[in-house]
Parts: sequence; C-alpha cells; structure tokens
Amino acid sequence: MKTQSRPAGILLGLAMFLVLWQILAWIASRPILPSPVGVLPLFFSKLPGELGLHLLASAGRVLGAVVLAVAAAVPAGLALGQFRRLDRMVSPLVAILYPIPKIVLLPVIYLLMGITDLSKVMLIALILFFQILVVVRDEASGLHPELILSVRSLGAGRRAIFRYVYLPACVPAVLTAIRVSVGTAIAVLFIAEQSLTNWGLGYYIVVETYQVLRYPEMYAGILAMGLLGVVLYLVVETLELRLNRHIYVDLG
Amino acid sequence: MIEIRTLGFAYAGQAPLFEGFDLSIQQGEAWAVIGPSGCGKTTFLYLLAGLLVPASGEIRIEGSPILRPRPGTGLVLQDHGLLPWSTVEENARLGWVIRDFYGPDGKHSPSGTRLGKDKVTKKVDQWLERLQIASVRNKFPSQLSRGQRQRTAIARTLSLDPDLLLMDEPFSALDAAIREDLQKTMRIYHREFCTTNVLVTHDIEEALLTGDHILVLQTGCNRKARVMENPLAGGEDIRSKKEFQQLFNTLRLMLGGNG
Repeated sequence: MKTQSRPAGILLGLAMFLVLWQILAWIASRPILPSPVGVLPLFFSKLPGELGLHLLASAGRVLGAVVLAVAAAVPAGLALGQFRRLDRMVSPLVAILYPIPKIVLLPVIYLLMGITDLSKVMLIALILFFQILVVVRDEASGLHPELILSVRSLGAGRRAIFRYVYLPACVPAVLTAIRVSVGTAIAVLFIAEQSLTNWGLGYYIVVETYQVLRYPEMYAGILAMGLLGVVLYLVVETLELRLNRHIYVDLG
Repeated sequence: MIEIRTLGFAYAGQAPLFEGFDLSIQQGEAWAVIGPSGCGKTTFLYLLAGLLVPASGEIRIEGSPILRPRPGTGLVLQDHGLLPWSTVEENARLGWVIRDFYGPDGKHSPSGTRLGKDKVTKKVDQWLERLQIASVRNKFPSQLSRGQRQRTAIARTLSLDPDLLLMDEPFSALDAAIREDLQKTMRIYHREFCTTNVLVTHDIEEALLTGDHILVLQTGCNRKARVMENPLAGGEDIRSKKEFQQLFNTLRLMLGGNG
C-alpha cells in the first residue's frame, strides 16, 4: 500500500542524503568531491542568478513536454481503449515503438525539426507519450462493461461517457505514468541539453562547469537538476493523492 | 407499456437467441424473467433497455420504438455499476448530473422537466435515507458492503423517477436477509409508484417472490413466450403456502427439471 511522503519523511531523507554526501566527501577528500558544506551555500547564492535561469530553462522544457505528451496521448489512448478494432490495428506498432529508447532518436529529431528548443521538448514528449498512451489505453479498455452499460442506461451518450467515466478513470493512470517516467524524461533532457543550446542545466553542468573544472559549481548544477526531479515527482504524487481519494482511503 | 413484435436477435457469429418472439407487458405489471445461463435473459433485458438493438422486429415502449436507452427506464445491474472514484452521494446523483449535462433534450433526458439543484439534492437525500445508506454517503464504493453498493445503485436509479424498472439479478450476490429486505423495498416502490418491473433472475424462488408473470426462457432459440401466471407474488410470507410448492415445481419443470 502506498503511503504519503510526509514533509517529515522528505526532510529526513534529505538529511540522510546530505550526511552520506558529507561522509563520501571526507573519504575522498579531494577537490573533485567537495562537501555539501561548501556546495550548498554556493547553490543558494547562485540560484537567484545564472543557475536559476538554467533551472527555469530545463523545467520549462520538461513541463512543455508533459503538456504536449498528455494532450496527444490521452485522446489517443482513450480512442484505442474504446475502439477495439482500432486498437487491434495499431497495437503491433505500439508494441514495437514503446520499448525503443527514444534518446537514440535525438539526431533524427534534430534533422527533421531543426536544432530548436521545440525539438528537445519533442524528444522528451515522445518518451512520456508512449508511457501515457499505454496506461490510458489499458485503463479505458479495462473498465467493466457493466459500468459503461449502467451509465448509458442513465442517459449518457458518448460525450457524457467520456466526461464522467473515461476521463476520471484515466486521470490516476496519467499521473502515475508521469510520475514514473519523469526521471527518464529528465535524464534524456540532461543529454539533450549538453549540446546545441546555451541554456539548461545539462549545458550548465557539462559545458560551463565540468569541462572547465569548476567542480563546486558543477555540484550546484547537479543539485538543481536533482531538485527538479524530486520536486516534479512530489508534485505529481501530491496530485495523485488529491485526485485519487478513493484509492487512498482507509478500507473498513 | 411494452410491445415486443417478432423480435429477432443474435450476437455476431452465434446462433439466434430470439426469432419471431412476441410479448406484451402492461403498465404496472411485475415480471420476472427466468432461464438457465446462456438463454438470453440478460440480452432480453438489454434489448428492453435499448442497450442492444433488435436484428429484426421491434420493441415499442409507450408507443415509441426502442433504439437507444429511454430516459424513463431505470436499469439496475448485479454489480460493477458504480463509479469507483465517486462517493455514494455522487454516484446516487449521477443520473441527474448526466441529465444536466445534456439539458432536457428528450433524447438523453426527459424533455420539459428540469429540477433545480435543491430539489435534486432533496430527492437524492430521500432515497439515501430510504435505502439506509445516508450514513455512508461520503464513502467510496470500495469501502462499502455489497448490499450497500447495491442500495446505492438502486438509489441512483429510483431517484430518476423511472416508470419502467429493469433489473438484472440485482440481489443475487447478497446475503439472504439483505436480499429479502431489498426485495421488499422494491415491492413497496412498485406498488407506491405503479412502475412496470422486469426482473431477471436464475433463482426460482426469487422469480416467485417478485413476478406476477414469469417469463421462462430456454437455451437455444426462443420463438414463443412461455409465461407462467403467479398469483402469489407480492403477498406476505408466501413461501409457507402450499401453492408455492406447486408453482415452484411447475416452474422447475418448465426450466427443464434441473432448476
């Protein structure tokens, strides 16, 4: 059973993480692994400036990709879940495309769409798209036929069935899909930002700090990217708990 | 009320369940439909509900052919009919929410009548009270007993003031005491509002308890309606009467002896 990550739990985890980092820094005791005592103040002093802008650029790309993926995958997944024949036609293709690591398509997307921000966003959206498509399709096709029939008997046509059954049924699945794939999305973003842009944490960490040996700044960048992942994860999880009251209620 | 004329129906690639089937049901009658599994009794109910469309012939309710669910018809299924993400109260209200969604278009909801929000709330509340689920109004279906879930489904249907009530094994998953209680509730409702009831069951006893007229369907193709009149239905304590046993045996015989 899922339990809510309470603020106390989050703080405790954070403290443990910092202690572990500190211990590793002591053991290494070299400039390539500075301690959090040095990096944290740097992180906070840089956040309102340059680092913050890189963080915003990365966050914007991820969020843009989430919006794009949801907008495309939810209707497509609902359609596949509702129209069995369509699903049978398309599912072999989905089964092949789904496991392809989308990062290898990076050059293809650059070639086709040009080297723009949009092409980076598209790549991440592609990853999320398939995750969401598959869960929404399964959720829509897994609804009890009796549920659909009894709602139809209340007078619901296709529009009302969509609004009152399919849509609320797939919201939890969409959130779960986003939550579990946001880590992959950020990993891919990190790689995509290492070249052909001047903004984003991937660029900051690799080009602006790592390659010029600014190690404390590099760790501040890594911390920012980690923070982006954690915050997105927690936000989605909080939404899940809000919207899925029926799953998290105590039984009995 | 219901006129069935030369009804024919078959699922794709399967032998027909109905062919040239006629039946008429008068306003205010209580019918039970019984038969072995696979005989088409649920199909029959779905046809009446407008969830399935006849392959040939027609079904008219109040004069209009049934090609889609009719606003005045209420349907109660065995289970799985509630939205798992909505509370008891939200579920009981769903029919009104859907009517509101379309407006009084005469197709998805009755034309003309439009209740205000307060009246709907009051009506739904009354049914929650009457079906003894007001105390669990904020719970989700997963938190309820089977009986409470079924009461919620019934409240949802009855709050829409149906004149025709179709039920598919509505009580078969329930404990005996709860089943009898709900059978009684539905009987009282039937008398009070003079609804036409059609209840599908595989249980001979339930058929005798609920149906003034009992339609017996058979495995294979149904061409002629076999109907048993049942003067006992709706009476008090009918199981102890000696006619009950006679009717029980007749019905068992009609069902092929292994009811």
